[in-house]
Amino acid sequence: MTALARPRPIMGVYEKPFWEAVQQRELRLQRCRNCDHVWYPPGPVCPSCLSDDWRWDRMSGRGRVIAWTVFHRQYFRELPVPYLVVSVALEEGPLLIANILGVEPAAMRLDMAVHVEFEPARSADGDWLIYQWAPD
Amino acid sequence: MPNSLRLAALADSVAVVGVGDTDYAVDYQRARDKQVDKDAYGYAALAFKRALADAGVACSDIDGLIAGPTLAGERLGEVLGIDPRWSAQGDAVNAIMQAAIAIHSGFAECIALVYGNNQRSKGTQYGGPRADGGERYLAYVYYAPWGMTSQGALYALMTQRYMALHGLKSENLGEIAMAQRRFAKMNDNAIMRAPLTTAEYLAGRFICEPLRLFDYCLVNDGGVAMIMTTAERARRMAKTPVLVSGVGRSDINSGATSLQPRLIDFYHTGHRQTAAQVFDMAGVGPGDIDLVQIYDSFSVHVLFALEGFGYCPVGEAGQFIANGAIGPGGRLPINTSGGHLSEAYMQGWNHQVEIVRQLRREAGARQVEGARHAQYISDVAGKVASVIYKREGS
Ligand SMILES: [Zn+2]
Repeated sequence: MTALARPRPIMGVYEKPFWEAVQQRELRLQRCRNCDHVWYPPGPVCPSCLSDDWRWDRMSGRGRVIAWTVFHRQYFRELPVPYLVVSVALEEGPLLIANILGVEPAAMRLDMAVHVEFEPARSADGDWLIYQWAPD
Repeated sequence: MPNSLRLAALADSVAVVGVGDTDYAVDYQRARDKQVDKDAYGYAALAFKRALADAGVACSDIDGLIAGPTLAGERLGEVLGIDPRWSAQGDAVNAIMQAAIAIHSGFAECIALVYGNNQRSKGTQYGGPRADGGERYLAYVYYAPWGMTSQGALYALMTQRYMALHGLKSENLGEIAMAQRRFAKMNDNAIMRAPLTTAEYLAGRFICEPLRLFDYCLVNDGGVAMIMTTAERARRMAKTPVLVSGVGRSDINSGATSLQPRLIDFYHTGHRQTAAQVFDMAGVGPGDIDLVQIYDSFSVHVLFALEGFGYCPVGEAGQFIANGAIGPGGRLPINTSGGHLSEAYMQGWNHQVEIVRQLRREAGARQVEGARHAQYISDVAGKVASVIYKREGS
């Protein structure tokens, strides 16, 4: 698969382990050891109990479509339109955004079952992996 | 829980006594022709002078100053020659709330609220790598790797889900843009005044599908100013006071970047908490409101606000707005100046001016007959706020 040019993600202290896992083809989110809450985006403490005792837990990667939009206006030089952006609720709870592989806009349905896949991406500073949705 | 007793003391104690705005339609053409002769402070200064004249007060009467979010407070005071004893900064609805609180508690007696924005001539970006607001709202910039950006795309996601859940059709959604355009036709200062048919609405290009060109607000230069003071002082002034009768606010932050409160709840939790406070404080309900102004950076704000504030049940806003019900002569006139879609995008500030003109019965051809109570609603990024205004003596 050819790597597509993409803007780099924001890479703060808490994003770094998240994206390092993605490079290993794993979707990991923080899970609280105190109350079992799972959250996204990554952050310093559990938003449910403020505990900083959490671990990077591997997600199932499975979820259901919550919403989608087709971009017709081009906002990023690297990304030609049209393209689909899809919000998915993971089985573990949090909602994550990505594109969807191999689905036409007309075929999109609410609650459609999807799973995570990893796609090559390219930026000025090198190649990397991004996560995407794919239909089950 | 809000303290009803304390809020009751604030109700009707503060009034808007002056409003001023700039020449949106003229300046829109000037920006297109590259003939702009003002910056944000220039628009702000013109609006301020017009608000002073409208109120019949002198600049030396102003003892409090609130700068809109696109202006620096110090520079604004320097430009206008105002050294206030109280000042603040805020978006439209928070400026009004802060002014009401400051006047009620005696920090200041006569406050100028001033906004100016040269977003069109300056080329402000609302999406992409330099998206405005990204430093305050992480969701505006967080999803760039997937090409997800702009407040409009976030509302497109909400709209798509709403359509899938409730069967709303594009032509039905178009009723909002068309109703506001019919009001704008009766407003000489509105930028978009040409009639808009369903066919023209549907022929508008998609920006972020399912939202089309006419679901998006304008981007234009302009300024707005308001003068607020105590209700007692307002009663000694020339024009009919417009009282701040109720205020309500509820910030939804949990899950904001993952878009949970937007996509799962349509911000209705924030709407309901805000509605409970604002209606209780003003002592009225949705049935008493003669006209509503809704912050409409996108048409669909109207649907979610109507449902969340109890004007109709969840899922029924499409039926509620059908057949011109929110346009001129309809059962609930909404955004009667044309709003952000057709009058001007002044980030909620022009909606306050329109309410004051309507409640003073100065709105000319688009006047809502006998208007006594008007409600303003905004829910930008889940920061839900509402003000109910009352015509003095109602
Ligand atoms: Zn926890």
